[in-house]
Amino acid sequence: MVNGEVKQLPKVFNSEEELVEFLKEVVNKALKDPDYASKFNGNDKVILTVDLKKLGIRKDGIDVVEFVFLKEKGGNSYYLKTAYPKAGSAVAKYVSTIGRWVS
Amino acid sequence: MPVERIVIKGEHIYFEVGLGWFEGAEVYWPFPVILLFDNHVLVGECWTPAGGKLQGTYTDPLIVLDGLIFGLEEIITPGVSEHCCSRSRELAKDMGFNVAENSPISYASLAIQSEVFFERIGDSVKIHYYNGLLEGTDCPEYKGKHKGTVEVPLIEFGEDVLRVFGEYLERHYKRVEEVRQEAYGYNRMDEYKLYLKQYLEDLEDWKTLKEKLKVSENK
Repeated sequence: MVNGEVKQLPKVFNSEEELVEFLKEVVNKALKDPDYASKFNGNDKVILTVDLKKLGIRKDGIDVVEFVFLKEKGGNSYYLKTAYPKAGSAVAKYVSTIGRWVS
Repeated sequence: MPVERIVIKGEHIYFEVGLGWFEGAEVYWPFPVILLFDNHVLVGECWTPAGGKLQGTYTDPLIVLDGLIFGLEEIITPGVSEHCCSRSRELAKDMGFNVAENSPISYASLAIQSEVFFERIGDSVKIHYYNGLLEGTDCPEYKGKHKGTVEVPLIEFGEDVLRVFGEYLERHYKRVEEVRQEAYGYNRMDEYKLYLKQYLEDLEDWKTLKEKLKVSENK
């Protein structure tokens, strides 16, 4: 589900597998929530902004994950195009030019 | 890989994207972006060891574009897109912004630590922003400038967002995706048609809104 090569992982995850498992968990839970499931209303593109607290998922430092789904051509199912953390204290940034973390 | 820059300017908006492969970037935040509204830095940062000039924050230009579009749509047709959360108002209040009780309000996170609320108040749009990366700046001219509210006339806001949207699609979308493919091994070309469709719809809705505003002005 992760596009291309993950060059740098957020420090919350220890491996790409862990990241993928996490994303899967979030998506599956989100789809069970009517607020999120209802966003799949037939539009060709669906952007799901998922509040982890709302789903009862605890992941230190990440509060919101955004998923971009596109509809399969000629079908009714969607595939995940891209996903990214949107907010949270661990969504920090290592500013390499000054050599320290900023959160 | 040579670095290119894309710049789109409106009356209030300044939108700049750096294209290339960058050491500090992530696959989902590939390019440095600067987004200004009347010199308020919604997306961007400044560090003296890096030269002391305003520089882009790594994000996806499409995330920024989405944020602007959702903001515009919420303002044109409140409640229809309701991007992110029904808790936008609550969120804005929690962050210390002075927002009204029933105004159309949309929330978007445009980049790491960049939170923006677009609120329609009558014929104006209030842009409440918090730029967490600018909060930690060591550039003296940007200290204290990381949070605020900018108010712009509704008409100008709409024209600006549609201008950025349209120009990005027409002149830059494909090029950005070419560079993304080269640098990161994937691209978002399959969303181009969807953005185009959205743009044309938003243009129509905007025209309708402008007509309505003219009519109510003439009453």
